[in-house]
Amino acid sequence: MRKRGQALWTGIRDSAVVKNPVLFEAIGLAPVVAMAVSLKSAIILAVVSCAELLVIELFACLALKKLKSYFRVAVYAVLGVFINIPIFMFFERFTPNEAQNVGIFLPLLAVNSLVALHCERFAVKNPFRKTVVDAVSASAGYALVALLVGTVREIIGSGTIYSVSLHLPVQLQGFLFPFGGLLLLGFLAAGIKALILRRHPDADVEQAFDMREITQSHVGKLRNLLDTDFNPYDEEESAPAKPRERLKKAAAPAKEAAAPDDGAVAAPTEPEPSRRAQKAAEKRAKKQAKAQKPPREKAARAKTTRVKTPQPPTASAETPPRRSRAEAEDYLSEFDEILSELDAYREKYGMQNGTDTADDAHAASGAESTDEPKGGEKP
Amino acid sequence: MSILGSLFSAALYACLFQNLIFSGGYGADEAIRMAAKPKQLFPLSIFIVYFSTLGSLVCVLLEQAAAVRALNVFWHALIFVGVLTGIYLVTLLVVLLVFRAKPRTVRRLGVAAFNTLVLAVPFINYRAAFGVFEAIGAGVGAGIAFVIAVLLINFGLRALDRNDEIPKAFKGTPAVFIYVSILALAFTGLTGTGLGV
Repeated sequence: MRKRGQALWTGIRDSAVVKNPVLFEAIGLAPVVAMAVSLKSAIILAVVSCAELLVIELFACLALKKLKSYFRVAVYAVLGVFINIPIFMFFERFTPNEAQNVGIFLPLLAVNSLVALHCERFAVKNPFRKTVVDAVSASAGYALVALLVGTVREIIGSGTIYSVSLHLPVQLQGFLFPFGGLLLLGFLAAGIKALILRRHPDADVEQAFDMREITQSHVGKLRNLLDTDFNPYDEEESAPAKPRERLKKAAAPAKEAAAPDDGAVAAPTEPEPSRRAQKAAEKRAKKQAKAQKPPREKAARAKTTRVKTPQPPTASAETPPRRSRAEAEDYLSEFDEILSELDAYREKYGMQNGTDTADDAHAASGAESTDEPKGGEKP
Repeated sequence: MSILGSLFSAALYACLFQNLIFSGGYGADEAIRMAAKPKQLFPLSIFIVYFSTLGSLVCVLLEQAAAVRALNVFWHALIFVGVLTGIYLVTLLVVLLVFRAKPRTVRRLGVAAFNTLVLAVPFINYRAAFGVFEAIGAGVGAGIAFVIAVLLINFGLRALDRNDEIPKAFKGTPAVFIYVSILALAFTGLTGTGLGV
């Protein structure tokens, strides 16, 4: 019981403080920065955000797990508006001035990234109880920051608190602009981080910035740029396999065919295809074999560099290829890219031809993404 | 000529004089998080320009109807989100069925379509009573504002990453917030609004 309570407390603390959505994950910044200029508007923001996050996250956990992620994103936005409307009507009736002051920011909360990111990163991957804990703690953390920022900005910028004058000699109205909000958030984040680091010196507080990619160039061919991985919601299941994994995946059937006894050791990840599926796959393989053009330059190069690449899925009829034609083409183009990167790498570092196999190719592609020289130039 | 003038003035207004990200705070979180991944900048910016321009155009065309114009802000919100969702779904279907896009491209669509920056553009048009060409200009300007913001933040992040003299508590997000606030202060200067100090 005590253990469970401790785990619950740790979960709440993590979501609300250590992984505070605004301060350490830079999520849902726009409303806090632009809308939380007084305690009253911060209260409206906090109430709307909490209601949205709680309702949509729980709904996503219960009903949207089977929906594709790209449809879910649209559902969150539409649900957000429907949740906003009654709350706004409530505030408009009881505090008409404040409801007027928040202007267009309240409707904009419908597409608050806080909701989409928490739903996609957590709600659709976890059971209901965990989702409740995450929703409550994240919304509490968000609301606390909004209230704190709203209060401080009202005091500094307007010299009032909850519209009651404090008779301060100086008012810095600049704090009511977004830059004031960002400045406050910066110091607030630093203060909380210092407190956490004092208690837990080894704690990893940083969430928003993975600085490893910062020095990469933003310039490149659009096709290559579109090909770079993008996973804002940490979708592990649907994420496309990396080239090396693809090579491994493609090589796996060939290995299995060569050593069928090993099958007992490695548990099969995919179910055995049915006879109908096998026939369809064979047909597809034949079609692809027909459609294949004479070996291209790069394919020829692949042979000369002695890269032990697995045969493309078209080759073996014994191991029916499960990937579609589009995926096979994708795989080939990916492989070509790896080869060209390998060549570039060799040219740059004067490596001899034919040193090693696909591992080198992967190392070259990995080097491009991680070991780029600062300044953003590609090797 | 007046068409071009209104288009360019609205675009300049959205990206420079009233930079939607720095002076308005719209889409600040997307810009900051995207600045840490510069390779994503141009693909995402293209989608953002597409959604903001098309969304802005469709919404302003709907505003021409007197019945729509008479509605209050929340009905407008419902219409604008509905329009964005419709554009998103149509684009998604085209991208999936015609271009057979990869999941990573499809993921960009969602982030580009549903963010405060893209939804803010129709609201700004509605508040400022923009016409069709001004609405197009505002949509394009919003996309350019995003590119400017991400590039400026990215250059700052690189400098912050190299700087070893930043105290440990300020390293990372706090330093980035403070850097972005200084940028926002600079852009606020372009709006011509006094800071009342």
